[in-house]
Amino acid sequence: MNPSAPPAFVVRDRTAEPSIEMKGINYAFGEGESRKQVLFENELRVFPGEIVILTGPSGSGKTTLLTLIGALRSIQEGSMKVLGHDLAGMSARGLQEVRTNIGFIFQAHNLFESLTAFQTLALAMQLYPYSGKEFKERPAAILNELGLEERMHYKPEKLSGGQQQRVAIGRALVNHPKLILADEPTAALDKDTGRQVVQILQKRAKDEDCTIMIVTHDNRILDAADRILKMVDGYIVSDVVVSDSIVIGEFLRKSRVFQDVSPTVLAGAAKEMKLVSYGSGEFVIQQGETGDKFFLIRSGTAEILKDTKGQLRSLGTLGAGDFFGELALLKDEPRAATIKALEPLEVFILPKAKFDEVVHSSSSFRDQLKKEYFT
Amino acid sequence: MLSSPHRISIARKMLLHKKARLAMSLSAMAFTVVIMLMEMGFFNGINDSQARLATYFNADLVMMDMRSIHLNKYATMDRSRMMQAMGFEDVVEVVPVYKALVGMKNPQTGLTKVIFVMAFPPDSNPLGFPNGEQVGAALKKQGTVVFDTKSRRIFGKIELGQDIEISDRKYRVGGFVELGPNFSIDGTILMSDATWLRGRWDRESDRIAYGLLRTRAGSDIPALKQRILDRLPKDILVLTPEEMRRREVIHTIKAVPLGAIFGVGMVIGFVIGVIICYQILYNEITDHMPQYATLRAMGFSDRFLRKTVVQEALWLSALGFIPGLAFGYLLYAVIEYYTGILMFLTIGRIAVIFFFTIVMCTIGGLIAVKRVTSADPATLY
Repeated sequence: MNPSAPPAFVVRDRTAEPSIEMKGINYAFGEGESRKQVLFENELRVFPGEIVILTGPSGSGKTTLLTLIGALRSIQEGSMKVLGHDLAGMSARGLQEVRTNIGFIFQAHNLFESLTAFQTLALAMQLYPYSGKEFKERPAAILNELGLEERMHYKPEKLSGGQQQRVAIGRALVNHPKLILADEPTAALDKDTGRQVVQILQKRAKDEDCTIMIVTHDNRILDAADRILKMVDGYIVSDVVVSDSIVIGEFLRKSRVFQDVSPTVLAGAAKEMKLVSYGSGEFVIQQGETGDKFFLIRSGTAEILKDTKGQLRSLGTLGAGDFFGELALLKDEPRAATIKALEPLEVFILPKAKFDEVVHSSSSFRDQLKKEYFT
Repeated sequence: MLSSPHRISIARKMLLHKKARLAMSLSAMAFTVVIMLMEMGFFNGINDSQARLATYFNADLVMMDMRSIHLNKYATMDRSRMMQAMGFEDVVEVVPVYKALVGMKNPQTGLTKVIFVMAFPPDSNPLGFPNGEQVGAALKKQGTVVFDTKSRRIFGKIELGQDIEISDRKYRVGGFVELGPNFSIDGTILMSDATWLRGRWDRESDRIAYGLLRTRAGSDIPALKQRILDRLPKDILVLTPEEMRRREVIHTIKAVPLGAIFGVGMVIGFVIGVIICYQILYNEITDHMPQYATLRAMGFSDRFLRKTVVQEALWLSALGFIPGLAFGYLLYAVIEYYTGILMFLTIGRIAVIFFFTIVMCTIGGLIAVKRVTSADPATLY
C-alpha cells in the first residue's frame, strides 16, 4: 500500500448479481410458548468471489444463518436469494436441488468408512452427468491438490484426522460449486496443510468467482478473508470489508477530531461499522432527530440541508471519505441538519455507544474535541 | 443419476464393510430362509409322501372301488370287475393288486408292528421296480416276501433269507425293494398273490384293492377310460396314475390339517424374515445417520437414498439365501433319512423360496427407508 497515496475505498462492481442476497430474515425455533427467535432482521449481500468470515459467540445464530443460506432449512420470514434461486417458500425438493450447487464442509467429516478417499469424491460427482474420463481423473486431481496423492485409495480408518478432513474438503470442492459454506474447515489441520487449504479456497474464489462463507476462529483464514461478519444474539452487528476497515481508519485519522485516537481503538471502531445503502433521494438523518449514529460515506454523494425558519438551505455536499453526525452524539443534541442522498449512497454507520467509547478512549482527544466544539 | 459403470455402490460396500456384522446379518437371513424351506419341505413332503405310491403304478389305467377315498383308506372290489375290463379291445393285460394292514413281529424286539402288505402276480411288476425281475423271481417261491428297506426302523433289522412272522405265520425274506413310508404307514412288504391267498387274514382277502389295466401301444387312453366307465357298473373308479396322484395331493391338503399347519408356518417364517431384515437395515441406517444426512445436504434426492436402502436389502437377501439354501438342503437330507418323509428340492421350489426371500427383504427395506429420509442435514452444522 502506498502511504503517500490518498486513501480510497476499493471500487466494487455492484452490477454483478449477488451470490447471496437476504433481507428481513427472521427465524425462530419451536412454536407457541416454547418459540425462541434466533435471527433478527438479518440483511446481507455477498458477491461472487468474496471470502466471508462469520464470527460471534456460540448461540449468536451464525450456524443457523449458515443453514438458511445453504438451503438446509426453510425460510420462515424474509427473502433469501442464493445463486439466483429464491429460497423463500421453496419446496423441500427445490431446496435439495439448490444444494447440489453448494459445497458443504462440516466440522465432522461424516465420511463413509466403506469408501476410499477417491470413491468418496467420485460419489459426490454422481450428482452430475460427468463423462467416465472425468470420474476417473477429477477425484485424483483434487486429492493431489490437497496433498493426498499417497492416500487416495485408503479408507478413513487408515487416514489421520487431518487427512479425513481434507477428504471431506475435497468432497465439497469436487463439483466446483459456486458457493462453499464451511464450519471450521481447518480445525484438525497443521500449519502447512492448513495453509494449503486456505490457498485452494482463495484460488477458487479468485479464479472461479466462488463465494466462500466460513465460520472459524483460525487466524490463517482471517488473513485471507475479504469480509468479516459478526453476529451477536441473532443480529448482524458488524459487517466489515477488511480492506475497508483499513481505509476507514485512514479517512478518520485525517480529521483532527480523531487524530489522537489510538490506532487500536480506531481499528476496533472501524470493525464495528456497518455498511448501509441508501437510495437516491433518501434521507440519512433528519434535522431535529435524536442523534444515535455516526456516519462515514463509502461511495456516492449526499447533500446537507438545513431548515432555518422554514426555509430549506443546502449547505454543501459530502462524498466518499467524508463523515458526519458526530456533533449530535458529542453534544447530546438533536440533529442540526438533514442529510439527503443525491445518488445511491453507501455509508458506514457507528452506533452511539461505540462512538462514545472512541471518544472517551483518549483524554487528549477529549480535550481536542472540547477545543474544537465548545469554544 | 447416470447408470454409468463408475457408479459407486454404497449399498454393497456398506453391507460388506464390517465382516463380523455381515456374518451376523447373513446368518439371520439364512435362518429365515431355512425356516421357510423347512415349512415348505414338510408341506411338500407330506403331499409327496402320501401320493408317492400313485406315481409308482406301472399301468395305463387303475381300476378301484369307487369308495376308495385315498391310497391309505380304500375299499376293495370284486376281481370280476377287473376281468370285465379284459373285454375291451385296447386292454391287453389286467393285474390284480391286493392291499392290507397286517401285524409283523420285529425279529429283534419281538414287538408286533402294523405293516402294509401288497400282493400281486410275481411277474406283473405293478409298481415298476427297477429290480422287478428279481422281485418277481423271489416272490414266485411260495411263502416268500420282499421287504421295503425304506420302511421305518421299528420293524427291526431284516436280513435276506431271514424268517419273519406276519400274523402268526412264518415267511421268508427273499429280496428287497425301495418304496418309502408316509404318515399313515410305517413300512411295506410284498408277496405274491398266491402266497397272499393262502394266508389267514382278517379281511375279505380275495377282494382286490386295485385292478391295473395295461393297454395296447397307441391306444387313446382317455377315450378308453370313458368307455369303461360308461359300460361297466357304476361302483368303480378308473383313473390314470397321474390322476390318482393329484387326487391324493388334493385330499391331503383338504382333509389333513398338517398341510395347512405348515402353510401357516411358512407365512410366519416370511413375516419373521421381514422383521429381521427391517431390523438389520434399521440398525445399519442408524449407524450411518450422519453420512446419510451429509448426502442429503449435498443434494442427493430422497429417491437416491431410498434406492440405496432397497439395494442393500436385495444384497442381503441374495447373499443370505446361499447359506440358507445350503443348510436347508442338509436338513432336508437329515430329516428324510430319519423320518422317511420325502424331502427334496426342485429348481422350481428353490425359485419360489428365493422369490419369497427377495420380496421379504424388499418389504423390510421399504419400511426401513423411512428412517433414512428422516436424516436431517440441518443438524450437521
